[in-house]
Amino acid sequence: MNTHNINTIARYEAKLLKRGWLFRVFAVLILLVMTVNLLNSSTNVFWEMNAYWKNVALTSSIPFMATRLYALAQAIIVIFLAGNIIKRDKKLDTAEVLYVRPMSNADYIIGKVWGIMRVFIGMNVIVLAEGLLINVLLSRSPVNVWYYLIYIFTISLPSLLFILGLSFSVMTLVKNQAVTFIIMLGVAATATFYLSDKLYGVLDFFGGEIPSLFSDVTGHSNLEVYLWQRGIYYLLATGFILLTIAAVNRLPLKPWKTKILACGSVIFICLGLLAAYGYVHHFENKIKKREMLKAVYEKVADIPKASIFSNKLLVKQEKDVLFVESKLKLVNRHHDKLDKLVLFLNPSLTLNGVKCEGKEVSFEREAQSIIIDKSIVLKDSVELTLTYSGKIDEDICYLDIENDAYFKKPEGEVIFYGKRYVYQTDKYMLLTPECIWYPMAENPVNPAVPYDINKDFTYYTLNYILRDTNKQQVVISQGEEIHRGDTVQYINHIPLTGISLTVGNYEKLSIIVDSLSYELYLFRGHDYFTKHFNLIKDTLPAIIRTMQEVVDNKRIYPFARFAMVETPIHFTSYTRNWKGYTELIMPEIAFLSEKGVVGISSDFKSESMRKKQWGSRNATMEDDEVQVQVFKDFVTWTFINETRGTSDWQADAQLNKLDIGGMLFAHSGFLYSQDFPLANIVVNMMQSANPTQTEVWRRMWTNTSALTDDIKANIYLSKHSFREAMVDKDLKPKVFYELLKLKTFELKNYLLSYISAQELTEFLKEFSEQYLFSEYPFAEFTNAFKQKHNIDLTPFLKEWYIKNKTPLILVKDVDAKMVLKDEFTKYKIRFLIYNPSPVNAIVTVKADASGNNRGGRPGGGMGGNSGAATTDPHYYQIPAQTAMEIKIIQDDRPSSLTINTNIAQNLPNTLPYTFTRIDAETTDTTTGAVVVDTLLFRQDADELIIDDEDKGFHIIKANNKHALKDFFKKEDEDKYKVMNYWRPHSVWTPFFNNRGYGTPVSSMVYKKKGVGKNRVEWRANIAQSGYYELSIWNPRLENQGGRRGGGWGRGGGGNPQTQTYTITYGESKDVISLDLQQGDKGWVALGDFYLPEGETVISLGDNVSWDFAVADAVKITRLGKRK
Amino acid sequence: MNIRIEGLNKIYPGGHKALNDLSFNIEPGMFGLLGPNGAGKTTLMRIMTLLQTASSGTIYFDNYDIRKDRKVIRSILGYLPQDFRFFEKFKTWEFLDYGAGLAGIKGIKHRKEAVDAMLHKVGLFEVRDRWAGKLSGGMKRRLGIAQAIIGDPKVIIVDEPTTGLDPEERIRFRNILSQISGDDVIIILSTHIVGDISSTCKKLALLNRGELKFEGTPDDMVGLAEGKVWEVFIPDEEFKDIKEKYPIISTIPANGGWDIQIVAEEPGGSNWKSIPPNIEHAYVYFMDYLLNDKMEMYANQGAHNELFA
Repeated sequence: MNTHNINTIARYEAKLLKRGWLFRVFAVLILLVMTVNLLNSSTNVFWEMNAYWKNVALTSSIPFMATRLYALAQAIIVIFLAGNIIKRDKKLDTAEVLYVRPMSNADYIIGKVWGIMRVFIGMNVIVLAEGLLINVLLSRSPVNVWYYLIYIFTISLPSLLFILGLSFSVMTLVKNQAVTFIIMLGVAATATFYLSDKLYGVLDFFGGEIPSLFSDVTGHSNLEVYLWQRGIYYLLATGFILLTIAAVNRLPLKPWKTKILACGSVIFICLGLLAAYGYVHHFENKIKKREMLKAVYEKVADIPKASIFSNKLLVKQEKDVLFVESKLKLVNRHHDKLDKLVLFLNPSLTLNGVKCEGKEVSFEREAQSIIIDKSIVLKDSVELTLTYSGKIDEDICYLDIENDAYFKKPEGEVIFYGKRYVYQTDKYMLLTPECIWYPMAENPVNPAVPYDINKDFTYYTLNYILRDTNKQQVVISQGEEIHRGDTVQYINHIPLTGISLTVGNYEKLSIIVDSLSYELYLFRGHDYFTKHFNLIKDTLPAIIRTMQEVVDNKRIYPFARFAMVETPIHFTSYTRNWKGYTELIMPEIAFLSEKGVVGISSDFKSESMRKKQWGSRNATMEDDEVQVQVFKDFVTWTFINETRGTSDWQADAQLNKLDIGGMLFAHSGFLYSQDFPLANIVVNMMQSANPTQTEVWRRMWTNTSALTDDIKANIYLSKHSFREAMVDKDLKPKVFYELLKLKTFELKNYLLSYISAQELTEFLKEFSEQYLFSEYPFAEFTNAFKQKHNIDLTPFLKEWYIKNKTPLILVKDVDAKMVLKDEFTKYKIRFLIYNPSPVNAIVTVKADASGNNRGGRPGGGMGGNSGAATTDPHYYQIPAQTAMEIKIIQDDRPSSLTINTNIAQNLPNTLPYTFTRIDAETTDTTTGAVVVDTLLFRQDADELIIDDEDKGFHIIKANNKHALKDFFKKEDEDKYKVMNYWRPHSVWTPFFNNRGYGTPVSSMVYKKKGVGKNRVEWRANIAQSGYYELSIWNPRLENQGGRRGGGWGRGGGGNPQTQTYTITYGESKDVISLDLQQGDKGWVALGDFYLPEGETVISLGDNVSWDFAVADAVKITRLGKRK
Repeated sequence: MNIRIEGLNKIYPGGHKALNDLSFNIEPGMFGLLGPNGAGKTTLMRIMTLLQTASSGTIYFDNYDIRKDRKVIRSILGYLPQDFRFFEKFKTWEFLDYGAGLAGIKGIKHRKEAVDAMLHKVGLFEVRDRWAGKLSGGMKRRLGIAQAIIGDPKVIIVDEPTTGLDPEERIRFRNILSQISGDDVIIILSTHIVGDISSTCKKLALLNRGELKFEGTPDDMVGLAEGKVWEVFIPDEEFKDIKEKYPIISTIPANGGWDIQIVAEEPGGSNWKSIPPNIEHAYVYFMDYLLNDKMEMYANQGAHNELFA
């Protein structure tokens, strides 16, 4: 190779490229898009609240975003231009005057590649310089030029070279610019949109979907693997470029060199593929290792374990190696002697010895398990000293998490920051119990049966010997902090479920409110927020107190300290329902993400501005008031709310990983039960969780299944028991979580059908405080409840745990009347309810008071409340095969009634009823539930109803054409979809809705307006000729889903919703059109017909006047001899 | 410098034999390559310029074999193809600079001097900053030869360089070629404009159907047609017959007929006057009488070998 030739070719190739109009247009467009994007995403130039915190908080954010977007745009141009460049060579004899020159083919192609690269690198530098300028002048983001360089070499360059090499190769082989362009665009689009997260991101040639962001403190999450992945594309790019050189149709200077180049090309492509294989293999190996580690847990799962009463740890760190001495006191709390002691310790920590009372004890070690040759008799204890050292193996963490979730980008996150569970470097250390950095007796996870885990409450003492070389080391752990010379000691006076150890360059902010110490540990230089709360310094204790009260309403905060510790951006945890907390919530300590980037928005500046703007619409909000609100919102969303929002509009809300409920419940006590292994979680959830409300508004945007996880859980329970669910590995964790909640609320509703919510809360609080920081049997709970409320829960719990059927609820005759009671006008709601199934049901009944009170107060003169209010819900047990009449009297005029069937076959499981007028009066002042005759629910023998779920209902398709996407349809796709008012489905699609007819599923089908070729038919077999009334069920959908019939879309505007029904009977055919906008939901008569014996068909075509046709049920009522 | 063509054959896929056992030598100086369309001139030049390979046989540039010593041979070559166009986005000087760079002239200063000298030489210095695509036809051709000769190549191959040029540009172009034909430089001029050969070439070769039919000096070739060229007045009514019978070199209208020049073995009448032949007459005599070939050759198809074909 001749660098002079290469540079000459490159210089003029670059000139040609830069002077091409195509490139210039692209370049201008890129710069424009990049500028707008950067300004929009990382500055407040366009809108003062624009800069998304995630985009500016980290130093590497802006360089990363700029490079990623640029790399994508660059690829499109390169794909287009690469073909063009080669085509240009083909067209002109000009090239021949170059080919006769003495450069080699390698000089020529490399010169071309280098020329193109020079231009694109130049553009990259311009774009990044622009990013840097924006970064420095207009953005709040910190600046580090180093990241700009890193991303050029790890994102921009490899993707440019790869796409260039591949384009050249494809063009050389395909010899057609258009085909090459299409192939390359296809490759780029497929790799970007569909394959980027497959096989651990090996196919992500842009490098934008694999972990790429750097923490300001600890750097990249896994730089070696990252560089490895990027190296694959350097190798492949080299291979493709060599292939292009070998395939160039110009006589080589030395013919044998072509063979060498071809071999080189094959070697580099093979090396690239080998590297790709190695990359995938690296992850596959991890999976294998995880399986091996799981197997180790399973091996010792059945061996009874001792409890660790106390653990005194002496920790020393030299560079990145730990040296630990652990003095354990183990207790036998079982009913039998323990022949051997099982402990767990991180598999890569070398156990140097186990001593008991100064004598060495033999042990067997397999990965994380240590089986010590030492027995403990009943109720006795033994003291062991373990010395170990080494580096922590991160792969032991989260063995109970599915591989898919373990390796992929966390759901709901836009950027994959990378995942780290342990930090053990010279400068920073973060260890949680998950990595078993100290000996444990109970396995922290149980991969085989994740829900079947026990907890140890242990008295921990930690002594950490500081390295005098690093004076800025701050050691954070649980307990009382004492400094003794070169040692930091943490002593715990209460037993804990586990402790963490964090050592880093932190600065500490703290405040004591009501003897509770609030501490905030930030990485030095990361205090970006105190300025946003400068006005509330004095009032902070009072504000904290109010927040504390909110927490205390759930349960009194049990620790003496609440420490919030900032962690590097990659520090990750998972929501594990069976644990009741994430590793981000430890006893006393909550681990916050670096600068609050992950999870709840910590953009206090924007939040303050938002609050100010919103506040100013109604009244002026003072700055200090704004700060109070922002602070409260942050605390609420970060620690108190059960779920958190997500930036992904397609996804459901995520469970809040920092939910402080973990500290209140999971870390403060443990109910164990052989019969109900989940008792602890259920009791905790009763106090901490709220019932799931399907976020319909979010699902309106998705053309996906209408079966939310809570509905799926409900359906699952119709065939499986709670006990089966616990060991069902096919049940997705999110569905199980909803199932857990359903069962929790079933139990809670059961209790609430006897006692008030207040009484239950008090009972749970008292009970848990009595057993604070200890393990105790579930029987204590049931006994305590029986003692206090004289209700034996055991029979209910047994059925609750094993029943594998769900009830069905039918409701009818719902009405509301005025009633005079105690000289006041009150309102009485009454309805009939029937459970025809063989299992008991519990329903929740909630009435909304409209506030339009016409008398509910003495004298009737109080006027109404402003806005609707919800009265306390009522809970009713509906025994199997029992009908009941339920009567409720309330002061306020009800506007609606919602009956929640909870765990039941009903879909949807909330049945709403509205009361537009309440004029009738009654004198019946009785309330409660009384059993009535089930005959009240018997179907009229003269009625035949064909619902869309019935056999007599048929969908007639115009043709059987399949769209390409049908081939990709999953076979197990859910039947019911979300109805889309904006873009109705183009085929008849079932959905369920409270306005529909039918039990257990109130479903109907709908389809986009058509020309009448697609239709539905209800076919009834008339046994006896005679007069019949035909009716159809009108769901009256106009007010659903946000699209008001009279308002928004094309179908609205007050247009009639006319559907035409054709009735075919005997030789006759009648056509009847109905406007479904007339009347309310319910049966609408098509007319009376004399139907002969045999089949009668009612059909509905899709040629309707609205945007969509809807079909539900048809009723055929025999009119006897009336006509 | 000496070029030796030895047993050169080129058979294209499909069986068309473009060159058939071609062997001859080329000495320093201007060498004319003559022949009708499809005679194999372009194929021969493309093989010489290493744009394509021969099926068999070889060419030696001194002792350098085109099969093995491509780098050396390319380093002494300059080439101006027939259908020469430009990257329109290059300026005149840039095009030469690019060529100079690839010809091995290193250093910006050196290259600039070489480029400027060459621009002066071909009379394009005034338009050095003009886009190459905006030059006139003659200027483009001069730029073409300039890029071919920049870097002082030892062998310069020009294919049909004067086609389409006005007489003034043709003379100018010939002069440029004459200037550069030094002691040890070979300029191979392929053309079917025989006038270009007679005025510039010391030696020539005539190819027909891929075979060498004549090799020698222009005078040798002219000598072959001695006593075979006639001038005669032909009345209008006989013109048609004469035209069908003899190759007519020139026709000048005269009173009641035509003064014509004819190539023929024997005079057709007493009024036929023998005139001294020139190279053009010799070429026609050679093709029509010695080779008995009316030059109704098919075009040499498929000879172009593209980079990414």
